[in-house]
Amino acid sequence: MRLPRFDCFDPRTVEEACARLDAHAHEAKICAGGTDLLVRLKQRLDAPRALVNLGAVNALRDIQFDAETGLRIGALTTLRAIADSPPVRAHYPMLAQAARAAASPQIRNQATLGGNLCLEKRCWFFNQSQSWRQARAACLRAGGAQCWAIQSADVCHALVVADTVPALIALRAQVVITSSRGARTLPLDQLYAGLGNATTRLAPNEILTEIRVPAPLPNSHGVYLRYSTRPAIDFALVQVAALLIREEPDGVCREARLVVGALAPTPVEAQQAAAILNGQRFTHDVVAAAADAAVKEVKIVPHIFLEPAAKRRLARAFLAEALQQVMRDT
Amino acid sequence: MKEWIRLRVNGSDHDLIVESHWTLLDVLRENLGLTGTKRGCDTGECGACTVLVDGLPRNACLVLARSAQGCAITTIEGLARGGELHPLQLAFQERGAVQCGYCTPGVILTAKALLDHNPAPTEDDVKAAIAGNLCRCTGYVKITEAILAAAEKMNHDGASIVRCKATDRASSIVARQQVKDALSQRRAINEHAVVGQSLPRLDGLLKVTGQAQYVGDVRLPGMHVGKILRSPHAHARLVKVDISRAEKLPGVKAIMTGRDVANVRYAFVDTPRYSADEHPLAVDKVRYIGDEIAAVAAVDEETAEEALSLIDVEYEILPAVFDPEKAMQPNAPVIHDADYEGASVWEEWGAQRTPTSTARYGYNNISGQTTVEIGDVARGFALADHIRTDRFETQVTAHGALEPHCAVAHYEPSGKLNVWLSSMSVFYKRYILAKALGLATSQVHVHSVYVGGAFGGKIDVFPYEFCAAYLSRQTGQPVKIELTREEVFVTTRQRHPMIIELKTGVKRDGAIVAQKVKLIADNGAYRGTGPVVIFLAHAFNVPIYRVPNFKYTGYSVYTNNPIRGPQRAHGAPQIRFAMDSQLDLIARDLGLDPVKVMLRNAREKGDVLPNGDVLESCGLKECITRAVETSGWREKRGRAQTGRLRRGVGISACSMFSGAPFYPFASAAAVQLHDDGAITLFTGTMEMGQGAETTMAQIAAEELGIELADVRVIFGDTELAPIDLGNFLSGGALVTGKAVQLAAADAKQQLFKVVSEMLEVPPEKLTARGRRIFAGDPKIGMSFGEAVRASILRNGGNPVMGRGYYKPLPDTDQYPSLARAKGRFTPAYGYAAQVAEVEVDTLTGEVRLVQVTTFHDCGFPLNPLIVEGQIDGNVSMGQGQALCEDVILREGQVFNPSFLTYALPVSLTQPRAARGEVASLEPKGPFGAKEVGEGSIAGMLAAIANAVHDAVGVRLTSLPIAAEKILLAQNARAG
Repeated sequence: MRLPRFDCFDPRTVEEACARLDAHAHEAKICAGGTDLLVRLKQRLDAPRALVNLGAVNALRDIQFDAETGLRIGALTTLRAIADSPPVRAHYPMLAQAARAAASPQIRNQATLGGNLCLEKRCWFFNQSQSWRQARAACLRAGGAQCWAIQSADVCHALVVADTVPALIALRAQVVITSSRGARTLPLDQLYAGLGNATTRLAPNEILTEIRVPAPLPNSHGVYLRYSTRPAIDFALVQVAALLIREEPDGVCREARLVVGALAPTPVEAQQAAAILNGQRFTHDVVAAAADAAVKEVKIVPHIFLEPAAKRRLARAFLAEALQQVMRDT
Repeated sequence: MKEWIRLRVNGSDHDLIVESHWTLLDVLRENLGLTGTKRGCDTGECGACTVLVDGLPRNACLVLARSAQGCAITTIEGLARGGELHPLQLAFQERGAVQCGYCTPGVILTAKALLDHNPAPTEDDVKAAIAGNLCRCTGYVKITEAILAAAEKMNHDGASIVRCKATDRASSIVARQQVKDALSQRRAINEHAVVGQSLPRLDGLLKVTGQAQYVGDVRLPGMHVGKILRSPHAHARLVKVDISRAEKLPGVKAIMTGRDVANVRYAFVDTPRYSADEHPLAVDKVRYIGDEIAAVAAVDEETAEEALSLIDVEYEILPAVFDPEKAMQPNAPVIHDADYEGASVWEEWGAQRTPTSTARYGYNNISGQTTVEIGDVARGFALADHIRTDRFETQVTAHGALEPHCAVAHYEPSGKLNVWLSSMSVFYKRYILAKALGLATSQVHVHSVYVGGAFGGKIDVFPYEFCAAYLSRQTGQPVKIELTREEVFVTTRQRHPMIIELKTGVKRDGAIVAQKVKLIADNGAYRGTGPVVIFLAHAFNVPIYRVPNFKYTGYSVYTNNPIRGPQRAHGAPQIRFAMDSQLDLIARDLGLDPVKVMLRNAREKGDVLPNGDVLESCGLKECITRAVETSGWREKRGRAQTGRLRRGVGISACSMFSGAPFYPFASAAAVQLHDDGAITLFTGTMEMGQGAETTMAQIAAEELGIELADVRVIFGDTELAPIDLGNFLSGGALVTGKAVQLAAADAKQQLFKVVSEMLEVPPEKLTARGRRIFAGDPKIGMSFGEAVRASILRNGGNPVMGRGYYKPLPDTDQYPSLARAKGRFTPAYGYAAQVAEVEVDTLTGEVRLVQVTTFHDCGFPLNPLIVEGQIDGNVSMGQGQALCEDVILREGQVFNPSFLTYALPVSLTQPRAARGEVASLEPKGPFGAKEVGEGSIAGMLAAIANAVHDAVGVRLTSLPIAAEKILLAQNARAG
């Protein structure tokens, strides 16, 4: 299976990359690790004239940790480097779990954090080969008039399923977005465009260059879990990131952050469920009530082989498991 | 955009002109000829193309070649540096971690990266490291063992290199000897010197070094690339196929459509009753999404792809049907409008029968029916103390061989056709292809290649194979057609989904008195093996339990789904899932141990089946008893549990043919004895991972009293090897093996005659063993080579060649009737019993397969290492089919045609494997051997379903047993 023809640019600095994008913004695609983009190109989901390949921009590859200011991760850092990073493992184990949960070792050796955060939304009716898609009228995302996932919908319902997203939202990460006009910072949850064809709010000439995670809070503990048919290779069918900050020494929950992913177009922060946990000591009843509340807050998109009710049951089970793990681990 | 790049591969710099869009995989294989890097999916999901980039494993299919500049790239060809094998390459051979070999280069490189970073990994480290390398053959068991063994050896030796040349033949024998020495502690004590020993495979060295050649690796000068245009509609009339725009595209060499081949018809089932219903390209209608419409040959893949997009097709959409029960209704759309006339294969070979129309079945869209009645079912049920009726449904599964289907065809001006095919029987493919192309059979030469896994999926002759040959004839150039992974999933073959209604009556002690089976198999848009699978579902089931009163009705049904065909144990997993699930339920109803119920009904040696097959060997009861003992069944069954994680055990049994009579009806073999004491064995068998090359050589070596290293095997080639049944219905060991044994025995008799004259002892006093032929005392005699030289000299130069042949059922000309299941089926049945232990997470519904205990009666294990590997592969495929594999279809469209979305088991989910062989010594088999390659997938499904019931009280009657189904069933139980 050959890739379509394209030209390739290899900027060495962010500035050069931005200049390339300014010159070719609407006909070029940014390529970081390429593990998702090249599959999309093979499936002819994109047909850019050119790739702006960030592989040579070495400045975007390091992880810096400071106990005061937190974590700064260059966008080209691989998922493997994050999963193996001592400060990430020590201070943000939930992020290491999420990075390690993605795909396969081969993919994690190549896929980047920036690429993972910008991973295009997926749908069983869209992420297929060109010839496969010819068996149906084009969907909304492919320029057609219909959403196949929800046939009454007039807007695309594809899902953000990248593993690091729910964990980094729970960690209140910010992303730095750079263009030739300068840099801006955005809370990660605001990067995503929600319903509709676009995955992110990045303009065509913008590059996600850095991820910043605030300094770890004392007595905080986070867990990332996912459900997938297999423990490797698959994209997640359900994602749960749970981060709890508790009072010492009585263990009462001061703040809970529950983010569920892969159910709705973008990850959802379950605030009512968090409210149930806040100010509480953990019991099985509290955990059950929070898990029940959390899944009610999400409007679940039907899945090709999982009914929304089945996804809800699974999500509830994994939320309960995540909260119990936090209880066990602290 | 073309540009110069410099790649550093295996320590050497290469300056190349590449296009920007070429991947590292494209360039390694096409430009540098490093074909040890395998193309499995091309989308980064299977790991077959794993290479090391600066020491880290990456999928070469997702790396742009230009982006790999400045990196150190290691491929499998670079691992044996200076001709010295890496310890991993040795360990993979020693431990039986290599089967088809297609995943092997990628796994070895991934493992190398692991050991470079972590010299003392745990078992969990290994499983995690190789989680991105799919393997369909081994279930990862022996791969994991081999990596751990290599790590241990490297740490122990301190040196990472074992001296041995990787490429030349003489030293490869040295390498094998080293491997063998390492295995000496594994040697079973048995009366034989070569068979029965866990010897490393003959093809292991080629496979661990990336030298083994598969179809996709064949390169011929001037080779064109072929691509196929397929239907996007499930059912439509072809109004127009216009190729005029495509023909004008520069680089297009030939285009063919259904009009060109409208008279060509063939099929796997081609009998007077069921005539062939497939054309290479659609003539009037398309009947499923993926049906072939046109084929293009062009100078390169890009041009061929573009040409397809320029073919204009006009369709008249027809109503379609996807549910077999709906397809049987009177008002359902009719998929095949007219009966086809005529039959070929059977009539030519003398099996004349009156053609029977299929119109009489009373249902619509019936492609086949099997009806069997034994005893008096009504009377039987009247005698029963307890009767149960259940309905079971099984899903569609994929073969998942890592090598995608591929054909290379080269038509010579003389009219001879050379082909290289992903196949399981070169003589079967030759016959069908020759007929379809209108050639004499002998004008088609199928060349030998290794096959990267098959599992039934490479038996049929496929349109892409015909088209490659046809396009080569049109262009006068070689043509290669390699299917994409999606095409493999959608347009080759899948396992038949079945609906099985089962009514069983038993006495209070569990003795079955009557059974009624109604089975519906959806064979998709063409007949495929529909009438075969409904016959086999009966034939693989009847050797298990004695059922005095029995009625079986099986229907195969046309729908507008993809075509279904043979898949490992063809029909057995489905029926065995239903039977042993119900038997477990019956045992619960009666308050009995299911093991007792199984043993109460199990068949024994000496039983005669209703069709006349005699069980001359039958280790079924011993398999059951030993699996129960070894697995700890009694302590583990029916445990009272309250925690979140609950364990349970379940058991099931299965049986399988050891070959059956079908074209070409017999296998032959020949041996040539060389004057240096080595021999060449000629056999038409295929090496697709199952180890036939090695086990056949072991049989020949044993018979002649020489060593495995003395045997070179020419296999799988229609001109260089004599005719062979091929490797399906598990006839390899018994049928081909017997032919090989007889060929070796024939040559031995010739040598004995000469030696007997020279030593002046009668031939019956002679023994061939340890590379010597002697009378009583090994010192009194001569070496094998001396005997060969003497024979040649004393017989005027006449070479010593042995011939042998074997027919599965030599004493009958009654081929089995698919419709009535009469006539003899097979010379012998292999048996297995399997106990599965699962752990169910009651919170999430997830099922973890903890341990599988398999006892297989393969008669006699010719090579225990290979036999274990076959069992491991069956267990893994059975695990997949029970728990996670499911081809998702909506309106005839496959939603998961990729290794990302179709869930083959991965390394992380491998269960603990306990396995043992029951040696029942089948009298017809070589040294007592019979089937081992297929049966033990079929016991896995009910064993797991029964284990889940034991663990959490939930019974699932449809597959796969997915977490969400368990959660739903638990909720329903909780009310």
